[in-house]
Amino acid sequence: MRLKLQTLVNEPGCDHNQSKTDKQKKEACKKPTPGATAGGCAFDGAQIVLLPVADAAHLIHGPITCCGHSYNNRGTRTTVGDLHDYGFTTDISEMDIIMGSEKKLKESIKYITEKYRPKAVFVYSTCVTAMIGEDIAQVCKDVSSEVRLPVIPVDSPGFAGSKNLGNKFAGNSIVEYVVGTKEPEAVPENSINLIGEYNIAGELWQIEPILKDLGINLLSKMTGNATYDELAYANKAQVSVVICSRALISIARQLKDKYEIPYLEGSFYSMKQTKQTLLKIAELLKNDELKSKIEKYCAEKEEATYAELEPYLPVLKGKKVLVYTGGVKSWSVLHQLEELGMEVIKSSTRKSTEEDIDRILDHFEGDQSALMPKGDGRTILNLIKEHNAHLLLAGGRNMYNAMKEQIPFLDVNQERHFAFAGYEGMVELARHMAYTLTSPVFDVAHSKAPWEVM
Amino acid sequence: MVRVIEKPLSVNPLKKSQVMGAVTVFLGIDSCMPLVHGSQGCMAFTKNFLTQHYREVTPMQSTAVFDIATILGDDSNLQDGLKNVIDKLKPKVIGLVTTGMTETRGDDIKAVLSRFREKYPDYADTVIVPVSTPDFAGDAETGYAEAVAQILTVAVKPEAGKEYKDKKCINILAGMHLNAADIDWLKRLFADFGLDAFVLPDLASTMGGQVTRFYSLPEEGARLSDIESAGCADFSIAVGASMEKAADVLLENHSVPYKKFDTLMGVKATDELLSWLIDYTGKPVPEWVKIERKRAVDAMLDAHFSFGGKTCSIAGEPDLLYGFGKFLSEEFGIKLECLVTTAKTGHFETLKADNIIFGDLGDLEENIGKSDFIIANTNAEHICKRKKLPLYKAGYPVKETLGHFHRNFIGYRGAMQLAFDIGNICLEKDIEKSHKI
Repeated sequence: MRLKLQTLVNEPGCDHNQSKTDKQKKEACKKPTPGATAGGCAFDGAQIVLLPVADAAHLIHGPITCCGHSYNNRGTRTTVGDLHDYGFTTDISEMDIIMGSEKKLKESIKYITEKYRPKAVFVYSTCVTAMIGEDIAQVCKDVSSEVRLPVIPVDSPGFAGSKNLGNKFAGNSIVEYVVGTKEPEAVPENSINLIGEYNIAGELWQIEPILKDLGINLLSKMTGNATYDELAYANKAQVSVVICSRALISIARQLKDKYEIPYLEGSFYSMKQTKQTLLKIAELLKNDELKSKIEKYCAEKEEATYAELEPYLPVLKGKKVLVYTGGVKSWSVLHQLEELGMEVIKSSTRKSTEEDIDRILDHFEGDQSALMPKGDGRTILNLIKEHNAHLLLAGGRNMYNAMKEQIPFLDVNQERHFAFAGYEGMVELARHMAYTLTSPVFDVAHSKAPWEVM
Repeated sequence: MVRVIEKPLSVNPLKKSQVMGAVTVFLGIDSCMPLVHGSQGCMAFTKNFLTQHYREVTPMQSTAVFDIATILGDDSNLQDGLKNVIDKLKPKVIGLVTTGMTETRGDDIKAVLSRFREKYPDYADTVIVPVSTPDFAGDAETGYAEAVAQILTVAVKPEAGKEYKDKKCINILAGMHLNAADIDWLKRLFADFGLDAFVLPDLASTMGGQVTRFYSLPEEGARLSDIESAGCADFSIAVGASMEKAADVLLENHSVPYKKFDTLMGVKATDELLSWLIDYTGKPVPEWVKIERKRAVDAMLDAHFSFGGKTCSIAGEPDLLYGFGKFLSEEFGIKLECLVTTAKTGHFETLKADNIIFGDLGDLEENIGKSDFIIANTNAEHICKRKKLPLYKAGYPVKETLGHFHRNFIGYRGAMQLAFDIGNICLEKDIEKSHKI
């Protein structure tokens, strides 16, 4: 475990990591402060990455909190199966802790494979089962040969670290146990992997048509709307495109080391980023014809999109926004807002890589004060007031903070129902920001009750 | 007989952990911070879960137990967590909730607390309520009951509240199955019988949406001063069988007598409460209560044409399950097909149902029989989609639905509401059926 942790924390593909001194590296990532933390644990992070694989079953080996409180809570959309809608857990009891629960785990895996016929089973370890020393990897290996299905251990006890570390644990399981175990039927020209896109609210379905129009084949998606088999033959792609770098750059880097697949970091949030990402794909595919096709295609799409945006632009123009989100969105959303004529006062860096931060800084022309580190609800609300911001873009956890202070808000994280990627997503984003900014409900909320006026 | 279906795992869990139940209680107390002693996820999952359920800011914190600390079992995380919460937020109460992880390594919370008290004498004013809630035992309801009992054990002062009282004081110990609208109904009823009622916990005030600014700690819930003087109340009312334990604490430590109502759902159960109020206070019944009873009966009469021959299955924590099951079967005449709950024994055993199971939503799906509709939390939506059945949402969590917390299930008013809601589901079934060739 300790050895694995060090390998994972030492990510050569991560500039943030490489720029650290040896001493800094030893300090590893900052530990959470007891009594002043936010955010999930490593298990949470691991599950986020893998759960979209809906033709595989996901079995959580632990007590009830881990599955019971997280089950049915991921806004990922899928067409390949419905096993992500099932919550499987060993739900261990006191007796299991005393007597050990490896037998129970074995039987649980068999029960799932017989009854639900998954393509594979992912088995997650959690705090308690890791503490009592269950050998999950061995159990998975044993059962796997018995049931003749891939049974993949995901070493993800919550106490190991943050959600982000959990993302890496999951990535590691994919590369170590899954990639390279299957052969695709065919590998068409211009085949790519899309890494770190989870099809939240159907965002993949805004990206896929663009790639299709341009003749780029999506061989393996990690993991939005992915099949298990897709992960297994990801090594056959020509290029990897990493969307959420912070979470899964390690997969891309390992695919490069092991299978010589070059990778790029990109985003499909904003028209500018979409185009740049497409051009980078063409470059790595060494396909000049594709390049000129992209130029033409994007110009047409941009023109059409601006026409659709027309009703919303007057509302959005000049409005000040505080962006409090993580990873890829902390910088790419800025481009979206800029294209809509809005002004970003600050963007959060709490879940961003050094490169993400560089990209944020690029946007603000190096102004360090635009970076916003971790903050609680109070800090965020104070910043909004201080800067007279009109809108907060953040995750669901901050939604009610904003509503308490009657601040227009848009959810850009996992529980939302709207997709904001590609060209379609731009319009959707603009539409929903305009709705909240012009909603008459805020007038009602700001009005005084008769007895307060008198 | 409660059946346990033999299988090695839980499929689509119905059960939530004791951690969730205990945290919920502390959210209903004014200026109280629930502090979950475990890894970050135990708190983060619970926070996310309850935020979606209530659609409110849900303050809670974690001791964020991390790798080395976990293995070695040192108490620095807990000490630091308590200190940081007090320094930063100055709560009047901290609800210290343990988890499976910290219970597995065998933390002696009481010993840590006494070391903390020694080390930081300046923090003596902050009441700390430790609750042992390993998530490998019990369920959310036992965690909830344990937290209420612990608050009353730790925080009630024998001498508090002995000053002159012009009204009789009643402690209402509110079970986990109650909504904000239920608590509001009880408050109004008791006030109109001339009683001074103190509700513990008071989630209607904290999580009901009446606080209209950002808060870092719950505001306007059950006040510490009222908790301290709960031992001087004249009487306690336990709403829900699970609240008996808390009522016993007040009886044993402070000789406060109590009456327990296993359910207040339906006309008959509400009649029982009214009979008690009339006897206890000798006061006339408020006019609005009389009107509500007439309306409830009228609504039930209107709806009963569609209730006949209908069957339903219910999944939920024991108190909620018992209330719904008894009301629907004994007053609506709806047949109970399958009941699934999170405890092996309890009052629900007395219900007339074909199938009572200690289990999960997977068991519900397999034993649903010919049910016309399902009553369960939001997570049963997948079953209902697969089986093409209507879902009436109740329990935890109810998400993706607005206003659930303000739906009234108890009292005459609740009976009327459910006659309409369940009646409409049954009526639609009838209409749908009549169109089938």
